[in-house]
Amino acid sequence: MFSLRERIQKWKKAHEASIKELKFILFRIRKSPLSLLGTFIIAFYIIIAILAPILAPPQPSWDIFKNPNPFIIPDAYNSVDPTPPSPQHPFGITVEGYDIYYGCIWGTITAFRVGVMVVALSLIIGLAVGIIAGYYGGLVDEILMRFTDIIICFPGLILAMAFVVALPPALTLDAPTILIPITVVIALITLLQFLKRTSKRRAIIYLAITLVLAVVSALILLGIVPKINVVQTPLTRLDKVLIALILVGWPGYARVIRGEVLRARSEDYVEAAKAIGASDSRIIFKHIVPNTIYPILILASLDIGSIVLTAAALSFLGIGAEPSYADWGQLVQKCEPYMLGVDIVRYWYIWLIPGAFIFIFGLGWNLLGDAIRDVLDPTLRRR
Amino acid sequence: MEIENIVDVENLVLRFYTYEGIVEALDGVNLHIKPNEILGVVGETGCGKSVTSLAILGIVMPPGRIENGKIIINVNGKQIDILKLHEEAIRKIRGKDISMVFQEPRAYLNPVYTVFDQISEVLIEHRKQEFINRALQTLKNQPKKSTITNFYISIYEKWSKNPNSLLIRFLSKIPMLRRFQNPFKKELRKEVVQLLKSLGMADPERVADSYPHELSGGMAQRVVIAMALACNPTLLICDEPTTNLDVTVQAQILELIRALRAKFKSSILYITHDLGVIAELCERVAVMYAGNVVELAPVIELFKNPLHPYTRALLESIPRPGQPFKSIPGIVPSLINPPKGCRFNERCNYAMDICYKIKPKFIKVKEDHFVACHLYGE
Amino acid sequence: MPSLWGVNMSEKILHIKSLKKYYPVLGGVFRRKIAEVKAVDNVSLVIRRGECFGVVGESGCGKTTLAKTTIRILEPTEGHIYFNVDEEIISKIEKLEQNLMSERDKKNKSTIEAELRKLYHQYDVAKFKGSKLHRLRREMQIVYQDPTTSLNPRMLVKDIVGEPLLIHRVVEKKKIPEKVLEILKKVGLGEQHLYRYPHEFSGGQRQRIAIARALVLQPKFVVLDEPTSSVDVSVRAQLLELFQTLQKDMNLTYMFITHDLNVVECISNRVAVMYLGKIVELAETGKIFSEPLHPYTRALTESAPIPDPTRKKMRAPLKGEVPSPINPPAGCRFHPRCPLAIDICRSKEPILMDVGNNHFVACHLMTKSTK
Repeated sequence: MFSLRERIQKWKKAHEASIKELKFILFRIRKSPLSLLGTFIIAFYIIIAILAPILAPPQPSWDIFKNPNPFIIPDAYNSVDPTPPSPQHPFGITVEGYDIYYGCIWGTITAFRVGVMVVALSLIIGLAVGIIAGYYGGLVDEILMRFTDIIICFPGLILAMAFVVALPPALTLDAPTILIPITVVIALITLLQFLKRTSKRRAIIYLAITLVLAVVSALILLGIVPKINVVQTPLTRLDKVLIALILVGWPGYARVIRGEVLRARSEDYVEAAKAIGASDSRIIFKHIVPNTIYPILILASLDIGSIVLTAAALSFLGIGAEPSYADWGQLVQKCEPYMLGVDIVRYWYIWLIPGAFIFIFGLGWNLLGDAIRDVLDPTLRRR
Repeated sequence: MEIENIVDVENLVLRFYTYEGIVEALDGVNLHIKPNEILGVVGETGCGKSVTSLAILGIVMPPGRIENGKIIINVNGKQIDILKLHEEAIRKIRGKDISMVFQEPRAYLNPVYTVFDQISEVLIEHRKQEFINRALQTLKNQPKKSTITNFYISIYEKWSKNPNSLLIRFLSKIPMLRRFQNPFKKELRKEVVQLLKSLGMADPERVADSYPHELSGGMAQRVVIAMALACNPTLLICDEPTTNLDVTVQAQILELIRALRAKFKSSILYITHDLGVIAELCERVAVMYAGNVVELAPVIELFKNPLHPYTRALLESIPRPGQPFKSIPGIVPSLINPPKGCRFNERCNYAMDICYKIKPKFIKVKEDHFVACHLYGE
Repeated sequence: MPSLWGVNMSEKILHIKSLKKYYPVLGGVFRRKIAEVKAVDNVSLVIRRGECFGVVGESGCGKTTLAKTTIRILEPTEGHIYFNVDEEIISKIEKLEQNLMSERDKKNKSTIEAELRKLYHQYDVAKFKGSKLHRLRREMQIVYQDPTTSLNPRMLVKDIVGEPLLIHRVVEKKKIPEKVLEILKKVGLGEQHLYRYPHEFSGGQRQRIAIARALVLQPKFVVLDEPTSSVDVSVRAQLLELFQTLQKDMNLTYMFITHDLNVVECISNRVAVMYLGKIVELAETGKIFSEPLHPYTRALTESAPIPDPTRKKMRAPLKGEVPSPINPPAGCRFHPRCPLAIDICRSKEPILMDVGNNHFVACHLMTKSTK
């Protein structure tokens, strides 16, 4: 019906306002040199991550059929002593013969994986808890926030270490493991329905579902109904680190978003939305979240850098990735025997080069987070 | 003999340099305020009335820049151009010769200090010498002088000779020895309570010890007015002080301003968008539109005989019972790319060709009645 | 005085009976209720279809709370609200209530109570829940005072105005843009404004967007909460004209809340004056301004500045300030500031009574003189 040109024009007109915003954001970013630096650093890392197979190709001579995972740095050099950088091995070789260059390149992908996944999942959990606590208030708020407080009370790194050690070697999702959390969640929703005093019918339906699920879970626990294994995946050490960091990281976001939601809840436009009859979920997703999410995004971008740093620390302590995995922290860990003494200067390439990668990665995300905050901060904008 | 104007604003041009463009906030503003009169400035949002008062005080913040013009104040017989002064000199004038009352009183009071602390801050800044002398006098007048009193007298004499002496400042930071400031503080308190009483407060002692959040809107506004009048300024600028207050409280504050003007003999520049308040309170009125003063006349003359089309339209748009509503068509033009010529040309019923090309000059049409409109040109 | 365009004036659209809205003040270690803020204290009034009912008062008098409680944005503590209910049913309820008061027999009492409860459940807006409340939103809407905060700053105009249509599903999704455009044109905006954010508009235009959002569902009753207070004088006239035009075109009934007596004099048919949660005077607009009976109304009308410099007033302004609604003065709430207070004003609270010609006053002096 419409030609392509007309379609583009229509799209442009419909999104005129957003396009103007975007232009303003780019202008602000251009103005500040530090934020440009941050953007470039992250872009640089992204390029390395994408081009990893080209930059550091897994050699066929490295028994690749035994180790099809490119993330495992092949142990192919069989030299006991670390070798300084040379044209063949641009960053040198570590103790057991791991190529540092290979480790750093593929470690970039690992870093992004760790950073982005941990932040994304802890964001999801933290936002869910925080928004529900902030929006509904009262008893729900108290329960959720006290639970959050308990987790915050523990020192993060130590709790993460405890999780890493305690997590099972394989994740088995069998019937009770799935059913019990679902039962708890639905019980909470039932509680919510009763507290909100909506129509009785709804509350009773939820109560019925809760009871059914509780009965079934009890039966399974007692062994009357046999356990059914739904999913069983092995967890690598790195996966355990990820899960641990998520479990430790979500309360921070929950607290921040709860504060923002409390502030936004008393704004006029939320009351106006109630006055036109919007449902709670509509108000939350369409009105409150878009207006409260920005401080969280800034926090999240800063966190990506610090999460990678924490993961590297865990690897250095030996509880992180496996010894042959391509991870920056793991590479620095190889230097551990030489830490105290003169050798640390002799074998500088083992800790300095991966360490520099970690440092610049964290720096880049910090600068980017600052840049986002400067750009999105309404008080600094010229509106 | 011509009476010198307290303030003379000539051709003030002010621009804001923003991302969206250059905002021509003030485009040649002309005003003058006579001694001991109440001049009202009326205009809509964005016409530049608040910014003019900030310029007179010298607190225009970047990205705003004053590009042109003169603001001449007549203080203590001297004529000074504010725009040519540097920050130190202007600071001496602010609070003492010119002071300002803002719109939202509780936003302009520091919530962590009591009322007494805040008013005495103004007094200490500008009238310190006077209070030191007063304290000294009180100490000397005491019939029985203990050793401490004599000691204090010697300190105060030194202090009075050099109010900013380092020794005194050092002593005032030491916890135990700080007590020598007590007579000084007592004098300050007497003055503050006196000031609050003259503003019609029923319980000045209690108010002096309360924090801003404990006061109601009307009382907080009175406190801000007390702060402004503490040093007997020659000019008091009020930027919509009663807009956020109830009608009955507004009536009280207007009555108060009138009484204070008689007592303190200052001139008042009263900014508002409420024509009723202008009619009640002001003696002369300046009407502003989109960064220009379009008309300046005594109040009765303005209401009886408005010359500028904008003033006429504004007076007609006041809702009257039983009559249909008359509004001014169109909206205020954007100041980023203001229209050429007279800025009211789009909405004016009497616009001529020249109105779209040349900006009208601010000229005197009758005795004390100035207009900027081509209808009354050459 | 604005006319009523041939609408049957005696048809009543809203009955408010003994409405109370109290906020508990929690204090102490266990957060128990130590006092109550009586924001709206036993207010009863009737609004007729097609009229513009003005409510005036100063800050803290409870007018905004009254409006929000009437349309169920806030939950009333006590009281009944009947919206669009036939006269017969209301008189039936009243009769039953009277019977309940006078009935001694317990068994009869419980039957009357059961019947009353059924009627309340069906007609009393104060008791609506769930889907009934949801449907009520279509009929009763509100326009807020400050358009800057009452519009979501991150939503486009077309979404803001189209949201009510989306929620209530009155039209199919495809037709929503066309309905949005229709109502925007009615309030004086156009197609070029659809894809913009609220902060790109001036105050008056934002208020129009808020009006469009309130009217897009074609409600019967609209609460206007100080809609002209945060706009300029010249825009005020435009908005007032718009309100009148829309009232005529769309057969609306307004509850117009303001503290600006000038505005209420020009646009409303009847005015209620509130002080500290109670109505102190209620009459037709002309009467209130030509012969205000309650001392507070008199003080209000005299305090308002008149835009005519030749009529400068030399009267003494009202002393004191509005007391806090947590601890209102005993007896008549206005007695500490009233220049005409007599002994009985300090002890007994005056009742709102008709002193002739549908002019209601709550003042001992006025009601005494008519006795």
